[in-house]
Amino acid sequence: MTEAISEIGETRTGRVLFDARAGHDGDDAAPGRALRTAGGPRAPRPRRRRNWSLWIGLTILVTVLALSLWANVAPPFDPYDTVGGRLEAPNAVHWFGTDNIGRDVFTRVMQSGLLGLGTSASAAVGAELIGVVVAAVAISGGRVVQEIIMRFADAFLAIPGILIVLLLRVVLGAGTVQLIIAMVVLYIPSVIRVARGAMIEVNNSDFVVLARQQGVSRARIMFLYLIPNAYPTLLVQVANIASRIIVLEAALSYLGQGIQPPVPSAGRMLYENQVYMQPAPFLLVAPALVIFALATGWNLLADGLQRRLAQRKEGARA
Amino acid sequence: MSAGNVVAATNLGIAYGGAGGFALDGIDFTLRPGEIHGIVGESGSGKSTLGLSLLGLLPDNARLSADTFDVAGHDMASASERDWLPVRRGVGSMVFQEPSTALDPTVPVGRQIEESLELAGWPREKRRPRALQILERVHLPEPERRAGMYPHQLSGGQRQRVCIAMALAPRPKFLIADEPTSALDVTVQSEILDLFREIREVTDIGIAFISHDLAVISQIADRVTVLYRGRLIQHGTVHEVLRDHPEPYTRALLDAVPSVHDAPKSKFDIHRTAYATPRGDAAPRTRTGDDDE
Amino acid sequence: MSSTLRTYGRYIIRKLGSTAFVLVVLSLIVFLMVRLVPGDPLAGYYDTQGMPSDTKIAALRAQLGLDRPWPVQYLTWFAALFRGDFGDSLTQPYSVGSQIAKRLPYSIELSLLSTLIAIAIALPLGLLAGRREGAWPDALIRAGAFFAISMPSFVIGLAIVLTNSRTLRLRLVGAVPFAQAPLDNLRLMLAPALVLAFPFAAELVRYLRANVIEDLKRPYAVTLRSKGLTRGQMVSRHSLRNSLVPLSTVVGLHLAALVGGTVVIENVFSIPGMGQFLIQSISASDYPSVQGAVFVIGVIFIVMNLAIELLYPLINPRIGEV
Repeated sequence: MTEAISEIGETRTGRVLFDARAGHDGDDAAPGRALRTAGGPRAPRPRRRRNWSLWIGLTILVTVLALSLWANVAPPFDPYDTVGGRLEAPNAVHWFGTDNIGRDVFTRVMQSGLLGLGTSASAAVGAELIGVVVAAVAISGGRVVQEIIMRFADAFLAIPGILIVLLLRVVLGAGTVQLIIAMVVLYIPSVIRVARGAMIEVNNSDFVVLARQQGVSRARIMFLYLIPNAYPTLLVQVANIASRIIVLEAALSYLGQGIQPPVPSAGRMLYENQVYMQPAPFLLVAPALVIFALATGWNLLADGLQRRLAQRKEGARA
Repeated sequence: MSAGNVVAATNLGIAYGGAGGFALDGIDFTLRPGEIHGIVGESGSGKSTLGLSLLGLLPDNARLSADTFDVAGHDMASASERDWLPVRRGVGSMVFQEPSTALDPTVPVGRQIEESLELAGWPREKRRPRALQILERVHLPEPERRAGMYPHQLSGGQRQRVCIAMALAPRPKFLIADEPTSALDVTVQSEILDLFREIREVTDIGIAFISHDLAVISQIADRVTVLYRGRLIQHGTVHEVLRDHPEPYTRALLDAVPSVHDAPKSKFDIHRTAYATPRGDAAPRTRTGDDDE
Repeated sequence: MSSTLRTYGRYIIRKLGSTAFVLVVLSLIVFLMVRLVPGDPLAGYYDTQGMPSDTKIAALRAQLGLDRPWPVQYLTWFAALFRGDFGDSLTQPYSVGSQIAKRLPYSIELSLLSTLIAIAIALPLGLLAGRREGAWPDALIRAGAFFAISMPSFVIGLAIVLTNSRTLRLRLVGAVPFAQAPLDNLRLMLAPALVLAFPFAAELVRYLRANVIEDLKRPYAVTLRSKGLTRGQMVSRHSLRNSLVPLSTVVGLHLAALVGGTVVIENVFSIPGMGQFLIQSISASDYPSVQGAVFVIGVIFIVMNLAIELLYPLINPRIGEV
């Protein structure tokens, strides 16, 4: 079970965008940077490429954050009230138009951005924190503990994520906090998997073996060695999970199971507005844009972090 | 260029992108049919760069300049990747240091040899017999059976034999061997050296033999080129360079190797030297690191 | 050779054992999750049957075994699963098994179709991107992959429906059984399959690209280059082969995950598959239906996983190293 599932789980985090390049063991080459590239099949230009993913991702997220903060703190219009005509097309007053009861779409969509950002970040971090600890316990706890934990993770991963969340929504109730908890629960197993992979390597390394021989306690090893050494990988995963949560939350809201009205949610707006798709397609564009921006922002951030990580590894080796 | 050379370069220089200095500078190098030409130097001396340049295998950011650069009758001074293909396909070939990673792990070794033959333009029906024949020539036991095996099913020495067979299969005019014994166990090392000697005896392939190990070079080479920091220090027959008239730098290298120049033809010394410089220590790859290890 | 076989035999036994364990855990998770749902499981029953008397409810409760402690209920349910008996729906006049049998084919067909499309898209693009790493085709393909991953597929679905309604006006929504009208069935399945294929293809492209790039950086790539292979030949003859084994794993698992993971798309295109069935059952608090459907979907995934793991050593010659 292990390898196979991890493949799919891990396309979420990784291997994918490594840009680190290395040559073969060309023993001698030019001094300096050329050393690293000798003999690669088609070797790289020597300049280090700018980490665009990281910066664009951050820019997108910060922009959405700024706009949505503005829309929440000093909303241009009351998001819950009729402030214009029905189904007005985008114009100078209502930038993204108005919906079927004359509410300002821009204000509503932008307010939803903050909630989307907040839920995705907090759920991803929450899942990461819990998952990491569980994985560390699994590794330090011996074979039986490890086996049981990993099989539970496997069983969980066998159920499509959206079904788990749908069930949890019924169990937990409909609020936003409950939604975050459901997302946390959903992503714990994949975190366990990735974190275990990242930590197991550290666990077998000489310095941990040595520490163990010298009687350093399990808990100490866990918090001092395992978790800190796995942390960069996990950071990438947080951003990755956050982007998944954005997309998933949109789908849930579209099914009426996400963030509940009257709180604005981009996914829900897609669902509510699709009836007016014919006369007013712009009603779908705005929320789709916010969802896309958030998901892309997180995705690019993950990509950029991954690349930075790869570069750092490469740098450490050279 | 003199008619007898299979490779002839004068004033060969190689520089890496932009600000980087010269990896090789002002090198004159020739390779004659049927000889083993040892290229010696410490890590960073440019010996592998020289080897790679003879098949155009340098990275993209390397710039090559030469007064003349003749490889098997082709002028390669300003050759593109495409220009090199005919040379690599059957005219010149290469054996690398690490036989465990030099072969495609998912293709049976026999098929990999046949691929070399295919690229060199051998007709389909002759490839398989030739592959088996050459595997036998390099003394791989039970070639029929082993040709169907995957690299991981062979020992390190057997794998290196396969690599050598693959290089020799299309009957090239010259062969570049880049530290071909450095990653092997001591006993296997001497077997592989014997194999290279045998190749010299029975074929007229010119072999450029790159090594950091003077003991190995003194055992096997006819001529020696000593490099230091991309420059040519000394060049001549193995006796001139290593015994009769070593330059100061060559002398220093020799002094670093216990007792080689006292009795250069003794097999015993290979063993002693190999023990004196255990692999991984002297092996130059530590300089660059290897991603897959 | 026999020792290899014995190793493989032990491998099979180990995998079968852990799979059986995972299946039990799965059934437990499914059962408990559904049991945790607050409210009276017979609430839905009232609606369809009018207001039955208290004695009748009690009788029903006993008949369904709901008056017994949950471990007993669990074991009863679990034992019945082995007979292929998923129980009866609480809210609808059918057995859960018959519903699943009716709906599963749609979901499986949809998954298979979108997988085929995804592979057809991803294979050439992934190889091209890897081969031209850093060049414009690579940049273009990666941007496309980013888009497909970041845009929820149902949004793309909505866009297709919208565009269609303004231009071609084809019938895109709904479904007919394959056995009845194969051509109509495929025609209707095409749009949802395409929508599902986009993010799938994007992941495959990224995976393939990374694999190819990694492969071209391996030391043996220099050997290949020294033999006179062009970069294109290196990819088509070696990297592709070396990527196919891990790729097949990803494809298999994604395929399995699609069955039941297509809830939203089934909704957009009104396809009566497993996803729709689940949504209906969940909103009706129909325990046996939810349990049965989630369990079947989980089993498909786990069994697929097992099949991949058992085949893996056979198609991967490097098993000797593991």
